[in-house]
Amino acid sequence: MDPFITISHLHKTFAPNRESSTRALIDVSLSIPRADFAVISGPSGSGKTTLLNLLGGLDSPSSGSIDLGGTLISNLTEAELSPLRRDRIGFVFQAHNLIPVLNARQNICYVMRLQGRSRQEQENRVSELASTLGIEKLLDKYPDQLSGGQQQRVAVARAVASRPELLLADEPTASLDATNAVLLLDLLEQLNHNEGVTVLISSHDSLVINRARHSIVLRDGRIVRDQPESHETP
Amino acid sequence: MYKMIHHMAWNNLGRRYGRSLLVILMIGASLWGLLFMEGIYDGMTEQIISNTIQSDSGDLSLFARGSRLEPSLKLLLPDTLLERESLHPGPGSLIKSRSARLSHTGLLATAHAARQVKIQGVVLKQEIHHAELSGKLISGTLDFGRTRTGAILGQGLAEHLRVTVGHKVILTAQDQQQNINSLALRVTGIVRSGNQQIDEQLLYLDLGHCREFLGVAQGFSQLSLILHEQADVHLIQNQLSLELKDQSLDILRWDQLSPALLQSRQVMETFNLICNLLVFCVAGLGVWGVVTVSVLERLREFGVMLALGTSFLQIQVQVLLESILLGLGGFVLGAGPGAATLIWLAHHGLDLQIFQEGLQAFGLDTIIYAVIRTGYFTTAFIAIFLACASSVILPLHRLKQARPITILNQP
Ligand SMILES: Nc1ncnc2c1ncn2[C@@H]1O[C@H](COP(=O)(O)OP(=O)(O)O)[C@@H](O)[C@H]1O
Ligand SMILES: [Mg+2]
Repeated sequence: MDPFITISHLHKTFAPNRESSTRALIDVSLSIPRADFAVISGPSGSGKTTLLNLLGGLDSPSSGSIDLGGTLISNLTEAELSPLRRDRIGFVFQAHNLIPVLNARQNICYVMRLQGRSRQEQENRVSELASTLGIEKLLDKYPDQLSGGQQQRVAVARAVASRPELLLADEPTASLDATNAVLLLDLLEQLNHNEGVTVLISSHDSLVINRARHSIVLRDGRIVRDQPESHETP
Repeated sequence: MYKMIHHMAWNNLGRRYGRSLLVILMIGASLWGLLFMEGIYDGMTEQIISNTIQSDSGDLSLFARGSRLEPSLKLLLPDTLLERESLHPGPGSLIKSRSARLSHTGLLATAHAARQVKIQGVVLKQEIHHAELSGKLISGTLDFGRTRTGAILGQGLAEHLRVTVGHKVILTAQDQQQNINSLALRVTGIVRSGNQQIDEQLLYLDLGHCREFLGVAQGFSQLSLILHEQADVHLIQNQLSLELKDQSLDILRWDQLSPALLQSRQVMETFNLICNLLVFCVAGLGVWGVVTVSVLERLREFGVMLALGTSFLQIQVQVLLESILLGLGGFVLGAGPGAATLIWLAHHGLDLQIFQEGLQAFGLDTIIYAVIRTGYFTTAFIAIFLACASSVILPLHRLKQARPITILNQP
């Protein structure tokens, strides 16, 4: 079977024409199958965020290509990337994910509303996710009334609400304590298992790295280890 | 979708309600000031114009050809002109009132002083109605007495001659046969025409008495017409010119007779336009400041929205909506009390007693009645709307340059 994501010879250099230019990614090639649960680890500054941003269509590479389920996203313009992000990718960032003027329910529905899904569909999906993620009681609260762990759970619900093919989570546990981090990981695994969404997490937290089914390690912008199905190997 | 944008725009304004309220108050207050100035200034201008129309030019005036520039007792309109159907006020006519005046210059003297006057021989009943003299009488009565030797003077003239009601004055003038005649008159009333220039020369006499004095058997110098609707003035001027074309007449509109008045109306309109521009600037700067700050402090939020697939256009619409809501708030806050103020001032007037002398020099009463026009509101609305719409251009440009989507992963 063809891999879901194929990255080949990807380079990303920030401020290429200046003296202060940074080579954030150097010749990165990688393939990720559908429904994978992959963790990109590596020290701070190794290029994890840069890689996730390129995969999510938030930024474009200096050279190389990214194929997402048959779409060559490295060639798309901003106008083409916007609907791609809306329809095919879900994001969870490190913190402050939620739109402050919308309550939890409205945040979860946000992408579905952008897509013009019916009210009924939105409501069904919200109650389904709320019970999976244990946030039924939080739905009418605004982000500033939620704890960090609660906010991250709502962010996960929003990221998967429109059933994207790919969920990108950049250090999602960095602002959480261990209990909340474990809870969040459980939920991500559960969604990966139940809904078949491909999950790609960046982290340098061992709690997260230990859950990886596919472990990728970056150092100084290069892949130093790429171990699919890593938990099966001793 | 747009329902959500609307919802978010409202909530964003509410989230920083102190700031939003301040801008709304600022726009509202400046709009209120604008409306007040417009209404009062317009009221002043219209007051001068209508006073002059009533006491002098009418909306339209008929003269014997050439007599306007070189008045002469030999160039008069015939009495028969008054019998024409088309010059009759009354039911079904576009003419509201008319007054036939026999005008001539003369010298009015007391034992101590003398002034040049413009004698106006009038049928008093007609003139009272036409020039709305009842409202302008400041002392005495509107009556020439049983012997018809009474005289009604303009206030300025009476002050110069230091005469009051009951005083005797001597009028001297050259009659139609070039003889110098004199006539003793008793002051029966003093009126304020509302136009200083007119006021300083105005002397009303009984038309019959005046004809006798000036040796004129029949005829009059001016037929002043006031219309029900001033807008009809061109139409009626054309109709009358056509109908009376073989009569050797000059038929002139008020703005042809007093071009300065038309000019003062244009000055007023220009001034009001400038005031609108000021409100445009106040609204524009206020909203610009608020939108700039609120956009730059929400970079992360916009970044999240963009990452989720919101298009930049949708974000632009949301920011624009926020700014327009501020403007609308300001408009409502200013237009409501502004309209109420003007309606009140249109009924009760604004008493500017302290500026009395200055105002009267311009031919104004001390009580100014405001004018209220829908145009004030539509122009102000457009000005505020444009100000709000254009004030988001720069902040949105800065938002685009900040590339909010790239700051998402910076904790
Ligand atoms: N927008 C940017 N401009 C310039 N350099 C950047 C930018 N983003 C990241 N970098 C640099 O690229 C490298 C990789 O950063 P990043 O992908 O954020 O690493 P990580 O997420 O693993 O901590 C770092 O050296 C960082 O300083
Ligand atoms: Mg990072």
